[in-house]
Amino acid sequence: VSLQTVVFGIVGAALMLAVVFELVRRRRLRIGYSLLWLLIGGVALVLILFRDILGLLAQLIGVQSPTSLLFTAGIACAFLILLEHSLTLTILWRQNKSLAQSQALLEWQIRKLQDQLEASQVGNPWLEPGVTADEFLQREGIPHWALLALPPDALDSWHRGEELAIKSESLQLATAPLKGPNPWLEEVSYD
Amino acid sequence: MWQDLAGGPRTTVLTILPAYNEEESIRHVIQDLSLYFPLTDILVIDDGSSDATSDEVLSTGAELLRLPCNLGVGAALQVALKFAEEKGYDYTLRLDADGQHDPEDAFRLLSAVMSGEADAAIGSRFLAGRWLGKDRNYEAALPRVLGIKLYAGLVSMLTGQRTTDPTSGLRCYNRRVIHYLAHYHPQDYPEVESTVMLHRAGFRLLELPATIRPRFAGESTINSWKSVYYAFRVLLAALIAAVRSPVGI
Repeated sequence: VSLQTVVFGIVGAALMLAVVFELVRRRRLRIGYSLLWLLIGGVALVLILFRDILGLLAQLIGVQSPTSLLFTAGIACAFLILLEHSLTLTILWRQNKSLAQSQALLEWQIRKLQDQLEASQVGNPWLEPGVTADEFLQREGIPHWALLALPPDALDSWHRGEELAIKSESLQLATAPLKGPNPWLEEVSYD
Repeated sequence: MWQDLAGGPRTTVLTILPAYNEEESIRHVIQDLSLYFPLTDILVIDDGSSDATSDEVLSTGAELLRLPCNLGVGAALQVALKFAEEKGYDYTLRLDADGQHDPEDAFRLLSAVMSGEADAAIGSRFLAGRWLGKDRNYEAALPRVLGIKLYAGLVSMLTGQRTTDPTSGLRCYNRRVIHYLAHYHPQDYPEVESTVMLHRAGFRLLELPATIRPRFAGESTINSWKSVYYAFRVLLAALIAAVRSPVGI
């Protein structure tokens, strides 16, 4: 084996190790996935530095030429890595599926909660927590008789003295034409 | 929802419609079903459709599970079964979203499972000729029929129970089957594999005649080249399911 070949081999193996190491350092490659690559690079380096090992191995297994052993081992390594990737893909597919499924279930739940919330608001259009009818009327300068504009159940609870809360926009809208003097009372003059 | 008026045990039925780009037909199918099963809940799984399937479903008031990407029928069915299990449904009824399955047949499956006759009932297109007259029998391209017959023979052999239509999507499951399949469900074209799987797990399967109606709209998702690939895939999946030890229930 010529010196050039050895140098070329060493540089190649070292470059591969360096690239994998750098990828891990930059967090582009997960350390778990780098192990196999580092192992292959390391083995290649050892085989180049101690070339007798390859010949010994070939003799031990009964392969005629050490070169073909090297190629076979290389192809086997590539195959192993591909298989490992297929396993990883399967795991990722399963996780992806589970995530998508639970996302769909959660979305359903959110939609239900939203519907419930909307329904509760539609059911009590006069609700505005923390504001009682009296407070509201005072605040807005609306006469008490304007409450006649409220729906019957809202009026009932106001009569019972409950803390009726009123959604101000709704009441404002309903009572807007009624602000000011009572239009139904005739002005009587005693002149 | 089926509420026994006499105050008996409450049984709930969930109708499952896996849909992929079915905006034209899904509304008809849902309306048709709600006429036949006014008391069941209808759940549509939108398997990452790119059209307005989801909007159509929501406008009908049916329940909707929307998968963020296309995962295939298997995953869509699994999420529906997970839903059914989580919400405590007693039976699920699965039909195709293109309207090819007749709710009347579905009703027969449901009564068979509800009466405890079987854990899972499957609507067979090849029993229908004998029961319901030739005019409404299933007609399809010859290779497809041959393929289905081949699977039927294979499944019959693997399970030791005569099966005529293991690829049928018209199915009714009881609670135990729901629980089983919610945890492990086959992928892509899952019908054949799940038939073998359920049999291996010791569930009682029953085939009942079912007719096929023309689809409301849309095209079949099975086209020529893909079908060759899936044919082999389904074959392999069924064979592996037969030698795999059943997952514990």
